[in-house]
Amino acid sequence: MKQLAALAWKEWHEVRIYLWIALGVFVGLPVIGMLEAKYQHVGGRYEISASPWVLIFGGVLAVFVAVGATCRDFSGRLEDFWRSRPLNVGRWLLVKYFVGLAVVLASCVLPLVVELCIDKQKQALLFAVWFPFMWAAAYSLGFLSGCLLRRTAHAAMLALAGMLLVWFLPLVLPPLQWMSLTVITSYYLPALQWPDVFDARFVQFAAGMAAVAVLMAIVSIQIARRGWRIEAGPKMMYGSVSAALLILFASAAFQLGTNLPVLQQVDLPQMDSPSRIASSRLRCVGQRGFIMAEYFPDTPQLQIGQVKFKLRTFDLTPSGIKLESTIREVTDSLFWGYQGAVWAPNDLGIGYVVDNMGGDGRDEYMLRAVSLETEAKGEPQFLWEQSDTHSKPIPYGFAVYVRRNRLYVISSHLVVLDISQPLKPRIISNTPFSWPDVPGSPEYQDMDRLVFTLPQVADLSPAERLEATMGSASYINLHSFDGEYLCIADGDVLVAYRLTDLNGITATFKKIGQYEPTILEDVFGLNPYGQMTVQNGLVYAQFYGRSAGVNSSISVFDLRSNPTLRLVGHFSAPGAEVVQPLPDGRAIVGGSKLWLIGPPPKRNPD
Amino acid sequence: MRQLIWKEWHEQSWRLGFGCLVLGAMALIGLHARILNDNAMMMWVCFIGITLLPVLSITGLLPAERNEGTFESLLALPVAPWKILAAKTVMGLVLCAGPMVAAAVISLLAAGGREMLDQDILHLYADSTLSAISLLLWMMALTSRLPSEARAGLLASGILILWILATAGLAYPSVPPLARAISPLVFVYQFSGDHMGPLLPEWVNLLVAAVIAIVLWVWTAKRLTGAVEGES
Repeated sequence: MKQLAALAWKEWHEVRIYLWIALGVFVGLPVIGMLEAKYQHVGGRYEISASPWVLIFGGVLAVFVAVGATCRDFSGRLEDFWRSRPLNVGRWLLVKYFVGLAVVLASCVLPLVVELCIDKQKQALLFAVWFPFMWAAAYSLGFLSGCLLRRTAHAAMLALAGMLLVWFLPLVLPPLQWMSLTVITSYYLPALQWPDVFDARFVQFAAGMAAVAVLMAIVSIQIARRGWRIEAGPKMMYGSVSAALLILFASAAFQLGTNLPVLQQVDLPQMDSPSRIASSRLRCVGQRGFIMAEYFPDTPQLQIGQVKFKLRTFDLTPSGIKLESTIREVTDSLFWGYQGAVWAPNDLGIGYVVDNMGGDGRDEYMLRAVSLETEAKGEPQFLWEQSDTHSKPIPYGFAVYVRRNRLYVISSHLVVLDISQPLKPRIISNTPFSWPDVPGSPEYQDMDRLVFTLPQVADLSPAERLEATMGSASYINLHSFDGEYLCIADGDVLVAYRLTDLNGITATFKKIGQYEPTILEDVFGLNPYGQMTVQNGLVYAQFYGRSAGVNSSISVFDLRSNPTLRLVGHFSAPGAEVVQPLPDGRAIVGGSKLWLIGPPPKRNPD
Repeated sequence: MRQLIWKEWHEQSWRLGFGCLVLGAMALIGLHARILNDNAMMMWVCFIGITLLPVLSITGLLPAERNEGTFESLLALPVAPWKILAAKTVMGLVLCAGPMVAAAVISLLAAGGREMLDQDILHLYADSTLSAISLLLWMMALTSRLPSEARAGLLASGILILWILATAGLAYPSVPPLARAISPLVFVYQFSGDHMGPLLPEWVNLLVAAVIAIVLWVWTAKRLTGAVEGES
């Protein structure tokens, strides 16, 4: 016991300097910040913010303490001296390990305790309870590195590279996300709530980090006992650090990047001057399709009218996409921006849009038929007039539905039109219609069950009523429905439902899963969801790249997998903003070019 | 001379392999994954090349010899000191240009003609290589008398930061275009904008860089003795 105490005393005297330095940095600097804030904002409360310092530099401190403790006694003649003593190497190392670890934990936890005592916010409690496991893992890595290399600078570099992997690999590799730091940092703890502090996810994180720490400590002691060492040189140092960085980069890149095979890439027509090209609309019916491309001139300040819209049709052949040579500039703004258009089933470019053409507190609803292919417009058809819409809002907005040569406009009126001549729709009937209210925009991620009341249109079957309800339902957030699966974007969360009951009056959906964008997607500046299409049990969701140079991307999720919404494919390319899945599993993506991409590589049939 | 180059190659070839591997892997992973558009990705690869390759090269040439105590032996050989410097310079150029060439070839194979024309890709890498070589010569001149790799690495990093800041300063519209040409980063820095005035043709930049390189090299050769900075 005396021997152990003497060893502990010796270790303490050697490592305590780190404690004083760490307290100086982790407490001293925040105190200076607090005093500065106090003098700048008279009357404010004293608050100390030690956690940013501790979270950023705690791991580095752990590595330095561990490497210093091991390399000091394992270098040169000191090692011979220690090995000549009547001392068990394992015990000696254990004492060294625990004294160093105690110094690291005290250095990191004490500032957090000070913050907890002074601050109103209790977020630091989570860090003080759970981050010690992570610092222990970093400390053990440093200890192992020191035992193995026995040269301070090299061991520290190697340990820091290892620490980078332990910290950031769980961020980029989904199977390891339970060990990610963000499990702790993303949790908001406004007040002292002990049940929240001991959440199962935190215990899981701590168990993972503790396992790393214990494993590294055992390996270190074995290495020291057997006298193993690696001759460290610049080759190993450069190699290990860059390997760690490349692993992180590759993991991040392949998680966000492209894994869908590009079967064909087709250039879109160029303008005379350099332009950024984006695709705003893509449609494919059978073997024919069209792409509408927007051309943004390469000028610092975009003027109105400078954006050009060009339409190009294509044929889809077994060998790929074949663009037709005709390029038509679409000059009429009427054809540019309709997102809610309903397309004629067999005519490629003919769409129908309901517009409010009224004014002066009077709403006058008209139907427009437009042909994108020829830029032809049908005569607007008056549907109905409604005044005082603020006090009596139209409950479902508009549902516009096409079945063969009939067009149904369902709202406060039910208007049925004959569209056997697509650009000359003819009203067959127009009657006042009642469609019960639906709840506004609920938090879909909290709703396990969705029930839609269907419009009672005698001509339509229950499935068609549901299709009409979903088709252009402006009251639901961005969504897509393929007859069985319904996906809805609720903020950043993608929520998936499956149809469980359909009768003539209601349709019931059961929630089957949800997807939340990863931290990596956020870090790389990808905004969910620009567009969404469900087909063949897959959902194609578009992420818009908001940061300069970051490509937009299409992510493909499997709705039939277990768990639901498993990411099975992704495709990134400049301006990849519109997607049209094809029945055979391939998909056409429109952006600065047109891409034909193959089906996702992995797929669970059921 | 051939033997000197062989010696340098024997000692430094792993750095060349390392540089090629890191830059090539970054280009390949980034261009295959396409998180960034091709231009942005290649600019990142070039940025890493420009910042890391000269520092990596310079620490292994003269300061490493001094650190290991072999530089005096090298000077004692019946070879003119400038030839020793020439061999080391050739190796430094290879260390800077080799990984850039590797990354350019990989970029062309992975993304040639995809979003950028092949000639634009080659132009980007060629400009970056010129900047890396210019930086190398500045670093070589200023670190040739340092006694250790660590000190040389620190000073080289300082030179790099200094030139980045200075080049940003030279980008002010009131600075004459010829003054911008003295920066090693003139080949890659985007001196563009409404008030920048006319840009110098590329050959003028090249000429100025060549003159500076010769002056720096001659100065380094003249100072190439056994004396070490910081020692009396």
